[in-house]
Amino acid sequence: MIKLNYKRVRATEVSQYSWYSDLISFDGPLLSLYKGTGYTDALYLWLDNSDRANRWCLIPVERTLLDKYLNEKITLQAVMHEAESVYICNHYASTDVRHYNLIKVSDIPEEYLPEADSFLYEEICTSDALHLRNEQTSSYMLGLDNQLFINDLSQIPKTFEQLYAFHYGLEHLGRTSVRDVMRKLMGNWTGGFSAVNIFSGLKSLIPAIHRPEVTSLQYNSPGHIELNLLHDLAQSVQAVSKRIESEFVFNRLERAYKTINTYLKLKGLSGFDEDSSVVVSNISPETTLVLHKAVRILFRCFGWTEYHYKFEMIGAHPLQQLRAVMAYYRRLRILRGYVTSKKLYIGKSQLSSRN
Amino acid sequence: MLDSEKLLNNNGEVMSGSPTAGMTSYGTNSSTKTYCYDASISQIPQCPPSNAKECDKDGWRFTLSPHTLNCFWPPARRNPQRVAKTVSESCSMWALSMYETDSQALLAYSKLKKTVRNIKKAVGDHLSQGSITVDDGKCTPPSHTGHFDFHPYINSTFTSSFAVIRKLP
Repeated sequence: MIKLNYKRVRATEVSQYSWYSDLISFDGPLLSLYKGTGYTDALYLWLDNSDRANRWCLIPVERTLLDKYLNEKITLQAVMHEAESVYICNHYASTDVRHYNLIKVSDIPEEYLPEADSFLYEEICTSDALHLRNEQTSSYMLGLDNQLFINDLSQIPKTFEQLYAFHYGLEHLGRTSVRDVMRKLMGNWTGGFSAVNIFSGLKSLIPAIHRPEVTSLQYNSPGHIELNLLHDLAQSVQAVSKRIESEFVFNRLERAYKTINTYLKLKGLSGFDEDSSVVVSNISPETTLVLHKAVRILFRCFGWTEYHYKFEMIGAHPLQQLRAVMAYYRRLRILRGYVTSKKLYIGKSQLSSRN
Repeated sequence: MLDSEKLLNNNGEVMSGSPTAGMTSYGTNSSTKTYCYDASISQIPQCPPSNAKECDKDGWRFTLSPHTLNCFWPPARRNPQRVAKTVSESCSMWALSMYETDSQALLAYSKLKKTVRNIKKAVGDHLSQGSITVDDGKCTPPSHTGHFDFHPYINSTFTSSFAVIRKLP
């Protein structure tokens, strides 16, 4: 492999990135999308190999640029030049050890640089890349009004984002990386599950390109938070929120929640958000059936018809399904409080010029 | 990768016989239509995928010139491997990549090269054409790019029909 003028860095410097999907693949991946937990995602491009190692280039890329690349508006060469510095990873196959090195893009030899017309052509991209291209984020309003304290401005977007992440997970189970995280959160892989709140794990599910981004913030009673996000998922939150605005549905849900909670305590299965754990295999078939029915009741109240199948797809035990749905409901109830007191309008701004 | 493998086979050996040359034989004869890599793919759920079918057709494949033993090896046999992240890809890693037409293969190569400048090192720098029959193995349906996976049967002689037709640009 070509000798490069780079500087070794610790692997922790790039630990925020994890594999999301392959964009170009031929006999294995050649270009992959890595999701980031910060403000950028990254592209992972194959460069070279030796007898022992593959050499890759990790290119941090911010949301707008990535969107343009996915939609064939800019080239990979332009993305690299925008990054200024990138990471070179020498991945040793036999030991799975990765050595990361920082290099200026201007120091990368021509043999490694994508060409001037290196677009993400449909003729070479994966079906995952095509799906990503079709997932366009757009503007979405969280309308605000009346008296709000500063903690409300933190609570409302945080809760909304958690519910959005929940729908993101269930709507993207076709993507291996998402399905793996959902399975991990649902405990499928251990046979039991950790009681750590599922919603704290969901935030790691979404790449920066699909995370709700604040595009404007105005408040002079009324006002709004304008977000850029995947509209269909926000609509899913909006639909269930609208549904439980009804006193009839809300009262039914409250009764169901209390009854289920009492049953779980009775069976020693409570402790939803605490650091305890329950071994699923110890739950009797009769109890499992009751839990299954409880999930169905909550799903019906939410108006969800397909999510039961999706939970089955990730192999979630009815108890874990129930925990997830009850955790969802507790967050939805927080938003409902704002909606019914006319402080929050999900999906529309109260400012006359904005919808 | 192919360059280094070429060095390992620098006697210039041309791939003219069975794809099982240099492979581990896994027991049974061709009449039972056992896959070449049965021991590995039988560990992968639904591999080959259920939509893979036996077929009579021509295939275009990226190779070196002259052919070396590993020109007809699946990616999973090559070192160092690029990582397979998904089960379906793991299955695909035991298949041979081919295209349905000459033009689809040429187009894919030219577009791959724009992003991956070193593509010849990963997949070869020549295009070969050959025939696959129902006795040779199973093909997955082609993707939107014309690419399909071919899972050869053990003792299949399909490689003898493959010949280099051009150097890739």
